[in-house]
Amino acid sequence: MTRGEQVFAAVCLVATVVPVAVVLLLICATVLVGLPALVAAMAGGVPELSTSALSSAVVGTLGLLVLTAAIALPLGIGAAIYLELEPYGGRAESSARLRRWSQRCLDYLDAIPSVLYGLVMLELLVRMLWAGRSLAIAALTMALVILPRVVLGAREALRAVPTSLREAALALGSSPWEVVRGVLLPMALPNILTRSVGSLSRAVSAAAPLVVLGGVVFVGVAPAQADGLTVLPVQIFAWLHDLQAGFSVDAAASVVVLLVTLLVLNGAVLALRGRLRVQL
Amino acid sequence: MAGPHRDTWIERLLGACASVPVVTTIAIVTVLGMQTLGFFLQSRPADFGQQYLLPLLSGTLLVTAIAAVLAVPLGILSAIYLSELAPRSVARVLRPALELLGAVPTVVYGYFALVLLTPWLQTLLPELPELNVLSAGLMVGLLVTPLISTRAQHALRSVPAQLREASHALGGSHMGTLLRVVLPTARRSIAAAVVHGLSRALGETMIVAIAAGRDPRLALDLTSPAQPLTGYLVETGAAAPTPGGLTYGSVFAVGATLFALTFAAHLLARWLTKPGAAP
Repeated sequence: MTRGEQVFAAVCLVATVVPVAVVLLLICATVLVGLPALVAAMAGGVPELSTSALSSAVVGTLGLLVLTAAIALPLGIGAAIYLELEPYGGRAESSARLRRWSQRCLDYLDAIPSVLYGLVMLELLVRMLWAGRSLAIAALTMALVILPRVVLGAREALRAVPTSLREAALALGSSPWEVVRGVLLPMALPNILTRSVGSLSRAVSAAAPLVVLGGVVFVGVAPAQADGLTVLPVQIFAWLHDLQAGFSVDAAASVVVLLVTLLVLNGAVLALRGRLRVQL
Repeated sequence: MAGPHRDTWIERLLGACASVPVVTTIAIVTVLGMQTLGFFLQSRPADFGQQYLLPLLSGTLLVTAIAAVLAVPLGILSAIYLSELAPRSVARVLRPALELLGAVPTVVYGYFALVLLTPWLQTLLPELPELNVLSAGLMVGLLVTPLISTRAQHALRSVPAQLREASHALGGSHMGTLLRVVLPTARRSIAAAVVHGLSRALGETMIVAIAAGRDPRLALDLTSPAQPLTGYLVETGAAAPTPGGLTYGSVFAVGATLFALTFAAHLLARWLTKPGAAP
């Protein structure tokens, strides 16, 4: 390599390392502020933290996670199966059209900022006045936000199952659904779950649609008074919005909690995946 | 053996799942469209344009431009490094590390911008206000870098091996092949990666809502606060405007603009990746 090329290679290396280093640095700085406060609060000392708001936010986040998964996973996997399998025969043409449009819409929806989902749900909500079912509406919104990714992940997982297995099952006389139930799903499930975690992480960390929804549904974006439902990202936003009121330590602590939650979530699924690996 | 009736039922159920995205898209377009129409019947488009749309667009432009200055070079150069130049062991560590940057929640980036980056920047630029477009833009750039990098890596890896081998056969060095064959061939796909990343940047909401500014201001100054389209949505939406009112409608009009912009970017990226004249 010429001298110029060596410099270029070095620049490329720097370009890769610098963003990672910077973010790691920022995370460390945050942990340095947030972790001591968290530990002090848990050890029962005088809390500088709004622990009630923080714990209700954690509960809300977990609830949102479970509900969103309950909505998004069946929908996404169902859609992926439909999109991935060959036409069943019979009404092949209409189903082909549905497949085409469904995939197109999934591509468009993936490119839309998540705020807009919150906006649209807000309007539909106001029309239907479901003010009491706040967590369900939030879960539905987030499920729609992550649906394109869930479908994508599930389709890739389904595609990874060797076609020979599928064809063997069909040759032995199984109906298409039996092939799915008996062969495809069991083999693809670990993969589907691993890929879905990324989307579920996104559901739990995206605040924007919920803040927009929050004007009507949640009890205010103002620092929660332990009543009302909220989730970690929204709570962090609320505290940062009012930074003058001195919530920066709370914000740091909840950032730590959020990051830890995500780590645990991703780690747990990776561990589960090892167990779910079907012996072939 | 399963009967044909049972299978049809299941097929219908799965088809219902597959129609959810279609229904969602229709709902989004309809709601945005109708609310925007209603809003423009209540207020004059020219007023709205001048008072809100133009300042908000300038905010979006500023944030996206700052993010681009950071993310485009870092994204492309890191893609080159990770897919062409890095030893395999190094790449195995750095590639997921870079991807993790995109997995950090955006509220956390907002925290970084407001609480960590801005004070540090203020030591360099003492007149920097607490809410400013520079911090937010830089954080958005960090967020978007892995997006561009991942797609660009994919673009580079998609360059057919025959082209590389032909270049080597004709005596080209590794670096020379990279610069003269691989990169030019992957040009369009890399451009699509950049478009995709910038589209994400202009749709980014929480970072700018936290750190960039609270009011629509028409300004092209890096060190002042500014509010982009997305920031307006969050700020105004969080304040719970009364449904049917003017403010409520304006939120949808801004949302519709955002939708149009990201949709256009999406179409552009798709056009770039069409197997047209060049791969």
